[in-house]
Amino acid sequence: MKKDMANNIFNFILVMLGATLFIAAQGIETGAAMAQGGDFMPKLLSGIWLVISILNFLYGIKLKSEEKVDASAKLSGFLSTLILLVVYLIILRPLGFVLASMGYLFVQMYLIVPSEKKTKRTYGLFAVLSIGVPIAVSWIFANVFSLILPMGLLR
Amino acid sequence: MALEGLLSVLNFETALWIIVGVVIGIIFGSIPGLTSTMGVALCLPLTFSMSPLNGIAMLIALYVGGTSGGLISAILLKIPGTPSSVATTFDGVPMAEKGEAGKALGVGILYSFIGTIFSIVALIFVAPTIARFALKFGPYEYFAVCIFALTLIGSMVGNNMLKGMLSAVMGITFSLFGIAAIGGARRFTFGFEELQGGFQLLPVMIGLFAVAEILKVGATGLEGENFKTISCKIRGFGITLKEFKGQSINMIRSALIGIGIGILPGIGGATSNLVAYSVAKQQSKNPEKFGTGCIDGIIASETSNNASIGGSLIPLLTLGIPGDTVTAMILGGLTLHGIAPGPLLFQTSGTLVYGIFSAFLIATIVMLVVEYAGIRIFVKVLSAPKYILMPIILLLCVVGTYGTNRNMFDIWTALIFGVLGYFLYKFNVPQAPMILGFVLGPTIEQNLIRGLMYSNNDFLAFFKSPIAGTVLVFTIAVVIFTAFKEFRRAFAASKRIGTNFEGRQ
Repeated sequence: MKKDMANNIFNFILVMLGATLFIAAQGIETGAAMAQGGDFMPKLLSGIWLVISILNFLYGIKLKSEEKVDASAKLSGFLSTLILLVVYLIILRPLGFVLASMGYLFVQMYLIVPSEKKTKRTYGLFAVLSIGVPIAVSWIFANVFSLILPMGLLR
Repeated sequence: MALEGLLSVLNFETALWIIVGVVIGIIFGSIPGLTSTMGVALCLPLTFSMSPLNGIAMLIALYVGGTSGGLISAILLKIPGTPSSVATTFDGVPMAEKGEAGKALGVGILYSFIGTIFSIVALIFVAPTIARFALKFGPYEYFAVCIFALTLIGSMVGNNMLKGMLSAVMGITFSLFGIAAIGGARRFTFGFEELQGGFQLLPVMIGLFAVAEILKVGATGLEGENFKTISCKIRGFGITLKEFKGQSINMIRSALIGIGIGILPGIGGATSNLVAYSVAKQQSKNPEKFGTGCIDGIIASETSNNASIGGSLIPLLTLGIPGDTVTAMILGGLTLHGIAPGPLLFQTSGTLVYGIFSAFLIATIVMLVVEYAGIRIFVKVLSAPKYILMPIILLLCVVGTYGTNRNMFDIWTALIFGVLGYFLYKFNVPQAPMILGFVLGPTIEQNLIRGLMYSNNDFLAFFKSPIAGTVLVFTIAVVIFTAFKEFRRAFAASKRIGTNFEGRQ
C-alpha cells in the first residue's frame, strides 16, 4: 500500500472520530451551572476537532507522495502483539497477576525475539524470566509497599 | 532558629532516610509506569513512625529522586519515566542513538541538580512574596496562563501545523471525558460507568509511550538489531565549560519557567518541561537542531521539571495549598504529624521549616551523586536485549498503572492510548501537543467556566484583569507571529518547489 493511501485512511478515521464525538457532544446536558455548563467545552473542542481533521484530510489528499508505507512494519506483527495484550488484560483478574504475567512474558518475548536468537538456551532464559520476574515483582510490591496485585487463582 | 533548623538534619538517621528516599525515588522515576506520586503514596505509611523532620525529609527526597529519575528511561528507552520527562526524550533519544547516551545522562543529571538548586533558593528567599503574588491568580489569570502555555506548542508541531493543532485539540478533548468538575454533566461516557471518572494522565502517558513502543517493536520486529551495550563514554558531566557558559540563558530561563509553573496549583513538572523546551527552541539561533540530539533541549526540560519541585513547595509551605498530587501527599504527611502549613508555619514551626529546606538541599546533592555514580549501572541494565527488556517494562507499567488507583480500567486506557500512539507515530502526528493539551485541558475548562460565572458570561472580563489581559494580548501576538512565520515558510517552500519544477522543465 502506498503511504498516501494509508495516510488518507488514517486521516479519514480521525474525521470520523471527530464527527462521532461532535454528535455525542450535542447530547451532553449543561448540568447544574450558572454560566456555561459542562457541555460547552466538549461541544467547542469536538467541533474544532472535526474542522481541523477535515482540513487535514483534504490537505492529505492534495499532497501526493510516491513513498511506500514502511515495509518493515508488518500488520501481522502489530496484530499479534495487540491481541496478546488484549488477552493478557482479559485474563489478568481471573488468573491473577503472577500467572497471567508468566504467560504474557513468555509469549511476548517469543513473538519479538529475532530469528537468529531463537535457540534452546534463549527459550530457557525466557522460561526462567517469565516465572521469576512476576513472582519477584508481586512479592516486592506486596511485602515492601503493601500493594496487592490481582491474586486470581492464587487467592 | 534558621541556623538551628538548617543544622537539624545533620545526623545519621535523617541522612539515612534522605538517601533511602532519593534511591527509591530514582527507582520509581526511572521505571516507566512507576512515578514519584506512586512512590510517595506507597512510602507515606512508612513515615508514620518517624519524627516529623525525618518523615518529611524522606518524602521530599523521594520527590526529588523521582522527578529526576525519569530522565534515565527517557534517554535510554525512549519512554519517559514520569510525565515530567516527556521533553527529555526529544533530544535524549537521538543523542543515545548517536552513541552519546553517557553525555545525555550526564547533562540531564547536572541540570536536574541545577534546576532544583534554583528552586531551593527561590523557596528560601522569596517564597512568601511569590506566594502572595500567586494568590492574586483567579480563574481569569489561570485561564490566560494555560492558554498561553498551549500556544507554545507552535514549536513542537513539526512540519505539519494542522497535525500539531489536531494533536493538541485531541489531547484537550480526551481530558474532558467523564463527569464535569463544574455542573456534574456526563460527557462522552457512551454508557460506560468506568468512563465517568475520565482518563487519568499516567495511563494515557504509559499508553502513548510504553505500549506504543512495544506495538512498534511487535510490528517492525527486531531482526538485524544490534544488541551491543549502549556506549557510555563520559568525561565529567559530559559538558565543557564553554558549552556550560553558552547554555546559561537557557538554564536560567528554564529554571524560572519551572519555578513559575510549579507555583501554580494544578500545573507542574508535566507542563513545565514541555513549555521550557518549546521556549528554548523558539529562542534558539539554531531551532532546526532541536530533536536531532542537541543538549539545549535536555537542559531546558531537566532544569525546568526539577525547578518545579521547589515551585510547588512554595504554596504548600506558605499557604497550605498543594500544587500537585505529590505535594498533596506531603501535606497529608505534615498534617499527620500535627503540622499545619500556612502563613504562620514559619513562626510556629520555624526550626522544622528550615530543616525541610536543609533536607531538600541535601536530597538534591544525594540525587546528583547517586545518579552520576549509577550512570554505568543504568546503561548496563537498560542495555539488555529489547526482546527481554520491553516485555518486562510493560509488566512494570501494568503494575504502576494498576497500583495508582487499583483500577483495571486504567490499564485498558493505557492499551487504547497505546494503539492511538502507535498510529500517531506511524503517520507523523506529534504526541507532545496531545500530552500538553491533556494536562492543561481540565485547568483551562474549569477556569474558563468559573471566570464566566464571575463575569456573568462576559468573556471580555478576562481582558479587564491586568495580569490576564496582558497574558492574553501577548498570547494573541504569539499566535499571529507563529501563523505569519508558518505562512512565510509554506510560501517559501511552495516557491522553491515551483523553481525546481521550472528548472527541470
